Amino acid sequence: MKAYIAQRLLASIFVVFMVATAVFFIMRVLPGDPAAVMLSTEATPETLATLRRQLGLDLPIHVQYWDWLIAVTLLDFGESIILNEDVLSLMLQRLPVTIPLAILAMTVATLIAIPPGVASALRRNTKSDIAISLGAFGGLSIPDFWLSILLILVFSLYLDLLPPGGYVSIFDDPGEGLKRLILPSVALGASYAAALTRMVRSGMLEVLGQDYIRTARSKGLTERVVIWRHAFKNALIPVVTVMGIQIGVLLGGTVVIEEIFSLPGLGSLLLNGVHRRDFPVVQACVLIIAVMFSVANLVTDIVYIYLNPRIHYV
Amino acid sequence: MTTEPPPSARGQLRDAFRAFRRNHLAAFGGLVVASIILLAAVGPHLMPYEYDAMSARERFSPPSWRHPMGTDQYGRDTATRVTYGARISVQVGLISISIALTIGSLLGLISGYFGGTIDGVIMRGVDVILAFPAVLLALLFMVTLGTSLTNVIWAIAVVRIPGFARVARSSTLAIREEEYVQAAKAIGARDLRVILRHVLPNALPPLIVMGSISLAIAILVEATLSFLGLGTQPPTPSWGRMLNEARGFMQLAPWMAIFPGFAIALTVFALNVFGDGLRDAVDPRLKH
Repeated sequence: MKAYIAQRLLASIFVVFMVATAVFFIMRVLPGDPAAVMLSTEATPETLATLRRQLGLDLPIHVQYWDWLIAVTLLDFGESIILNEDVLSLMLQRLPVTIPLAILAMTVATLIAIPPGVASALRRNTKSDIAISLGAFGGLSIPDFWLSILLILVFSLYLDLLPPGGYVSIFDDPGEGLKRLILPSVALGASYAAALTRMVRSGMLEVLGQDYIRTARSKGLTERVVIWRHAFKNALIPVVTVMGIQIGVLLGGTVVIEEIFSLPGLGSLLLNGVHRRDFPVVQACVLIIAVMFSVANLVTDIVYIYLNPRIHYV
Repeated sequence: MTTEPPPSARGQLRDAFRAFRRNHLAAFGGLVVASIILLAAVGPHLMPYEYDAMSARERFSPPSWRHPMGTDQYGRDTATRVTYGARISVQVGLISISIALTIGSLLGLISGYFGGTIDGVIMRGVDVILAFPAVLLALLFMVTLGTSLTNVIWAIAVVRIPGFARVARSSTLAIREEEYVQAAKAIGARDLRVILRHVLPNALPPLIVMGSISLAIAILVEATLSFLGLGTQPPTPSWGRMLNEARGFMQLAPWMAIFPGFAIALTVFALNVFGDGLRDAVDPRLKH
């Protein structure tokens, strides 16, 4: 197993390296000189040349690539062109917004996904099962930005229960900070919850058909013990995989959600970078999110092995 | 001669079709998808208004008989714009997924059929694309390529290639070992012929299922990009773009935010249940 984990770790490092390479080449090889794009049309050739030198764009491509790899390894992402600040410190300021949002969204999603998932497996092919399945499909189909708008319409504008946006740090004022994260995390977690419900249902169905469940029942164990201790624990194995894969969707979603609810997180930093053509910021944010995603996938794989000792990797 | 595909392939398709018809929800999804495609094709010709016809007197009219979905900040008819939006979504979805299906399947077929180094190189490339959340990669493409409808289509196509490549590869790995493939090879059929004539037709059903689910994703990604201001540009009425504009007038004209969003959700929902039904029909083993 250690060998397998080492192998997965190496593979992840390789993927991250390739991602860094891909980001570099997408930003440089595609038509349009970043310096020209950043300065728009009214730039004089002199300012263009200065910026090109500043960004190192006058160097041969292999030198630029090598410099980029070294810099990225040392977490040196350069300076934002618009904000004139170190990109790394900009990102570090934004993470305390995005990480609580993502964690809250995952927690909310898990809590609302598991009971209906288990219930629909136990009441398979009944009306409630169909209703839950339809609900899950609905959750998968509603775009997060539309759900956000609907939530703001209902809970902020009509019922006036929750603020429509704005940010208060949960580290400064936990109550208010949490209150402001409720709508964004529900909007962000909805499709996550829907995917999870479907996985819990099919995982439970798979397990409930197994012999050891019959054995557990015939031993006279209560239904509660059979369902939660015997069935649910084993049904979680495929669920964990989906949770890991869905983290990517969640991280991508923060871009949209932070924009709508005006939260100053990593996603909104990225989106502002995109609109202002602040290439160093865009490069760094995309890279960091891809790295977080790869780490999540790696952790998922390792957790999977611990949960399922029957699997032997060579 | 003896290199005909096995006769069971057609029987399998017939079984799949029967199973599909029995699934009411999937049939409903199919019907909705067909209606939306029809609406995208002929709808704009039937609407009494132009999508960019402004009317200062009718700004922010609530839904009425004249304007069943109300009007926007320029007095443009929302129903007409939603109908045009269907055309954009369907167009972007179908073209981008056709590209992804073709390139992805080809890569997967080659990867699975030849194995070895080619397989390694292609699959590592696929891993790299998969290391980005889809919306993020599309965003990265849009910012470097610039915002245009063609670029939206390419961005979505690239994002969806890995899905098709993986599905095609795993089917190919199984099909490669089948007797009819071995037989074709034994009588000296060239690799290209074996791949196109024997492997591809048998690998197709799961790819089609993937296609319908990918269409849902493509429509969501296009709407997201347009919502963020990186997809279709005004005055072209795409659903995402309309929702973006509606955000400024939520209290005044909530209908502007409700109808385009409902159109996206309905389309994606229909594609999802349709695709799910297709999967059950094509691969009964996956059905629970």
